[in-house]
Amino acid sequence: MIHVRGLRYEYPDSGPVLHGIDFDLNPGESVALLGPNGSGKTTFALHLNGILHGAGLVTVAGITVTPYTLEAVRQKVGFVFQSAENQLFLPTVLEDVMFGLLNQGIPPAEAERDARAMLASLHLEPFASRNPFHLSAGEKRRAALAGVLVMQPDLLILDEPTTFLDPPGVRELALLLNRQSMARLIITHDSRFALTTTTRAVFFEQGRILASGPTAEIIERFDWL
Amino acid sequence: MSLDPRCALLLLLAYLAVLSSVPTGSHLLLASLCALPLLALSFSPLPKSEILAQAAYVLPFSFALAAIALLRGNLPQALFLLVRGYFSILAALLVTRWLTPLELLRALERLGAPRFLIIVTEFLLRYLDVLRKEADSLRLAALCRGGAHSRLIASSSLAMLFVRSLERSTAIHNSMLARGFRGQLPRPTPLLWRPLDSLSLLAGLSTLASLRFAL
Repeated sequence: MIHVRGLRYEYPDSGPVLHGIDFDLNPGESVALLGPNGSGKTTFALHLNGILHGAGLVTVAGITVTPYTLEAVRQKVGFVFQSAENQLFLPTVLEDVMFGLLNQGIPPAEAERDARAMLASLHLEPFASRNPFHLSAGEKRRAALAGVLVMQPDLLILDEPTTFLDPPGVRELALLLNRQSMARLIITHDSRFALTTTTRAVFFEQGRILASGPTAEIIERFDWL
Repeated sequence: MSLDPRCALLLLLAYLAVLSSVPTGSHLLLASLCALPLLALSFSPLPKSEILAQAAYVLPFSFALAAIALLRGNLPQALFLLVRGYFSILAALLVTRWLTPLELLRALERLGAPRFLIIVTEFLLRYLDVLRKEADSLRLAALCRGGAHSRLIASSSLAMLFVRSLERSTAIHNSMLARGFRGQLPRPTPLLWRPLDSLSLLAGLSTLASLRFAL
């Protein structure tokens, strides 16, 4: 599903962030990206749908990520960002969930039908015409997820999905993610969440992958609980 | 059954054009035109006294213009300016309160207003509450650390708010790109112009034209 070799990246104002990352993800696999703040986890993930372009090879679902393949890549990769507030940018929840589908060229009526079905499956149908600002943190997170899941990506990336969620919200999100069949990449500091939603973890530090292995083993090895 | 927002906007524009063209001294024409928004207001479910009061906010500006006419010794023209100013705003308020901000923006977009301006306004509407919340948090944080209401705090908060807004706009743009954004916001529910809208527009324009040229 993902094949990354020798990925290097540096921000213009803060020097090198990734120092030659090698990484593979199999279809349907769920992997946690663990590591301290600023270790390069999000920067790495942003390369997988071409938001950032570094040196090295990034292949997603058989497509090499280049400025010319972004459209195809972004149909395969769903990215749920850390701040749901920033992801829900349209005036109503329904319009926001339809956004990706309409960008894919799906006719409005069909897009609305799919979006409503997705909202219903996440128990968000009553909020369809609401302004996202007025949703709770958990509802915002689910609405952001709905906007990505409705596009039926082959790979789902979630950046700190448990931020601002209360314990029931975290449990609900874990259940929801465990029902998904696509490959998942979860950037998180929440080790318990990683344990319940992933089978493998990789540990980042200073722009390098230090270790990869079963989630429980990595958490114990780096004392990350 | 409600009118297409474009129809309402076109009727408003026509009304404003006719009202602004009323010659000084055409009392009957002015009275008839002033009666139209009052009539519409009386049949609408909108809060009447509130809208009538809001329309008066324009009066200080109109007074400035009327004062010039008064200085020239032209009392009728001064009164005409005040009345026209008030009823122009009343008509505009009626339409903007009747339509939702989004309907208004969509209608403006379809009538040819710059798309970039519409998108920016739409985002501003969406994030106004968020910005207000952030500004409140900054102010509260300053007060909690012993800061008093001062120009220094206000200006540094404003600068911080600007930086945060910039960061937020980058994050929003990234999330748009991630879902396939290619520079155009797709419109899920296109506005639908129906025969009723054509009829209403025709009736409205005919009424305005007959008033303008008959009185």
